[in-house]
Amino acid sequence: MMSANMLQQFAMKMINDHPEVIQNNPRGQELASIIQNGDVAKGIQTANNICNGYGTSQTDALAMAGKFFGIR
Amino acid sequence: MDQNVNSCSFPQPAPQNLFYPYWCGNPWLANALNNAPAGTIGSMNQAMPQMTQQNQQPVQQMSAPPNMVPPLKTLYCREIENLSEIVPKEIPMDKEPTLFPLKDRSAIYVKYWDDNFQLQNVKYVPEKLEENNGGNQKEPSEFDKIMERLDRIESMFGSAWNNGTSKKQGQKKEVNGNDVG
Repeated sequence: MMSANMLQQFAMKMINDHPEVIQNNPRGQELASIIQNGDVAKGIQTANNICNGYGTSQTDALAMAGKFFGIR
Repeated sequence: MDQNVNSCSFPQPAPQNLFYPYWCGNPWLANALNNAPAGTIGSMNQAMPQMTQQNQQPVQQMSAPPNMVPPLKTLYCREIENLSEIVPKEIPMDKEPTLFPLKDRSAIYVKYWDDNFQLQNVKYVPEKLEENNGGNQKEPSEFDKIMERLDRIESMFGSAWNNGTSKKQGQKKEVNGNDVG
């Protein structure tokens, strides 16, 4: 499993490589700022809220993301 | 691209692509869908080149006249039969609510992601509005006014007429009584 630091770096790389994706998306910018600021508590809370909204667990969500991006 | 498409403008900022409601929570997925190589699921740009050209070209904004009504806002809406039909990916993460009216019109469910990225559910139960009595009262027409005045006059004369006829009848009775007596 990737460490939290590696996940942050990965997310930052995605944001930097594709700035147009969140350019016109205020919510995406909010999420990106959480990652950029390294606000772990806020990040965990946000992730849990999203997982709850989608009716999935954090573990399952991470597994799905890893499968989608081809990482583990 | 033809002129019609160039001159096309949206009242609201148009969604970036057709996957808007579905990729909102996952910007990388949207990017992957748009930039996927040809022949894969994401090759929408090749399949529909007009979409790409529309997205890349700046949308011309029409200058609205000063007294123009503000443009309508588009909200996502889908009829459902029960609450379990709602899938979270239907709700965009741009804080805009998604409406789910029940097919029998007994309620409307509204779902949206709040500021803390929590999925909020609100149920609206319709209340049938009472008819506005003030609005239903019709202005009396000229004919109604005339008829009302005629009724009043008739009632005045009618009472006098009744009094007159009763007096005459009384006199007649007296006459008849005298005859009898």
